[in-house]
Amino acid sequence: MTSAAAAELKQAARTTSAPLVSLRGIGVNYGAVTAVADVDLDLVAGEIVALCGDNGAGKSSLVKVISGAAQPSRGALLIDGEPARFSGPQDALRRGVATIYQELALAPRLAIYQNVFLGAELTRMIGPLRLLDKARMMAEAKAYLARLAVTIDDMRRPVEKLSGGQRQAIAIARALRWNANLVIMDEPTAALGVRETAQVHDLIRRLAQDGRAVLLISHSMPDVAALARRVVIMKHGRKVIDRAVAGLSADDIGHMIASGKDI
Amino acid sequence: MGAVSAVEPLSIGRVLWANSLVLMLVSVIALFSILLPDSYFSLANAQMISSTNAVLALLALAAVIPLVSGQFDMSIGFTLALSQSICAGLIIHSGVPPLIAGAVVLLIGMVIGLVNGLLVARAGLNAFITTLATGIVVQGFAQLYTGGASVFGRMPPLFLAWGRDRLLGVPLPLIYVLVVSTAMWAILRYTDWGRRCYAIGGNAKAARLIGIPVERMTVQVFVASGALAALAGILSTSILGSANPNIGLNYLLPAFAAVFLGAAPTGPGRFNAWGTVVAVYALAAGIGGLQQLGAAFYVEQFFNGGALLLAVALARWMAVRAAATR
Repeated sequence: MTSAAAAELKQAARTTSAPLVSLRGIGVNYGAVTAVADVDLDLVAGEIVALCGDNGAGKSSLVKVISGAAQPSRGALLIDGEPARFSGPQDALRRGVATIYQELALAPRLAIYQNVFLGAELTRMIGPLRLLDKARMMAEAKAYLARLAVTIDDMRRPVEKLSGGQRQAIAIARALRWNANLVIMDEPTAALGVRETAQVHDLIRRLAQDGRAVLLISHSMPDVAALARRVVIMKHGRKVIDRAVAGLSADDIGHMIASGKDI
Repeated sequence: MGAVSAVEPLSIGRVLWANSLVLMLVSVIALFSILLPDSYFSLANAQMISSTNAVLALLALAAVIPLVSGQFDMSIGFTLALSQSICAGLIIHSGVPPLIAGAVVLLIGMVIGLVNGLLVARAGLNAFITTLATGIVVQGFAQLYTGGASVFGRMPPLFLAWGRDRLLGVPLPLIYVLVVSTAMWAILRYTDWGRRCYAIGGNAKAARLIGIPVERMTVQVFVASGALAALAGILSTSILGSANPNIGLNYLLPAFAAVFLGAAPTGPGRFNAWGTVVAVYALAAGIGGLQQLGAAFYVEQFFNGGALLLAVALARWMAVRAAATR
């Protein structure tokens, strides 16, 4: 069996399992304003789901709930079927939900391995001293990148010297380091050229093949059509469409977002 | 996604630039040793320069940790002056044993750092402005305590020996500087705390999102800076045997000049302990030589300012050239 076929099989096996993260009746209010109303959503391992909608449709508010940046006003968030409450993005990260922000949240002057292990450095004891284990961090950072099919020789390179696509890879490798089951990606190709966009598409597919659930927030219809298996469309704070992408063109999806109606 | 070459173009210029501070130190010493073989090229002169500039080196190191974390601590010069005044006053006028006087002064330095840290981290005030303001207030306290006058008097010989004795010919103050800078280098480079300081300085928002306790670390950073500034004050008291409450500004600007000069070859924002210490002594060796050649006292200002301007201009030029050849 080829490794690609094995990955397919693994993905198929995992997608049939129970959802990793579920939302039930989620509502978000800002004072008298309702940003999100009564949203149900299931996110399953190995699946790329696109979350779309016009500005002000409630996408960001919903993502804040899933990523731990905000508490829902109503409804429940379930992780592996258990109700969960995140105290903040770090808490969500520890529970396996990683968010990759548009600006990537990398420290540009630090080395690749330092960014992958930012805030969770590996250390070893030398006598009474707890010191950084640089060799292990470099080796593991390289291994995470290898899982994304990214080859960078020198893990000591500062991130500012990398291309936009490679920086995305570092941010994704950090999610792998935290063993995130759900990776939320906010406009991952927004600032990239054609070639780098293709590279990032590749990264996102690898992430799903690695058994992660991916929630893709995007205004780019070609991204959604090329990557997502399912598209969720929000309008006026409600989920109006949740369907398979197969057979839809980028234009179809754009039309659905504008009209709020399935075609 | 293609492989990235690990090897930066390793030109001679790049190697020279990376070691430019050490080269500057060595060539300045060589130049003045040739010009002044009798006065400059002597053990006594080397001991004098390394000892008198140890205070400046410690103060510059006090500025390094906040800068690594992306924060300015402008109060350190004034903390040094207050520490000097209180240390001398307690010993000379109040007859407090030097060890206890030192401990009290160290505590005062840490409290100043704590106030700075809380104002910056918890109240969210701009560090440059805040520490300038607290520094001016600290200066006021130094003048209040001393009545604005220098503090002179008899001190226990043992206390003076801490600042004036030598070990195998090496002045003790230089040894203190080497110990502190080695410890700081190791902490910044080999501990997760140090690495997180660089992370906060590199991208505070990212550091917060990933769970680094940015506020708490910012407070710790300012406390460390205040403690080091106080240590510099204690050492200067012990070297001088007296105190001057108005010395703060005279130390503050050269200290920052040395820190920025020390970070120039390693790249913008990569402040580090070794570079800082080498920069202090490269500048001091040059100024000392010029003064022995008969230059007036103000040559120090031209040398410090000129070297810093040259360094930032060179750093910019190297960065532009590196970008062009990539």
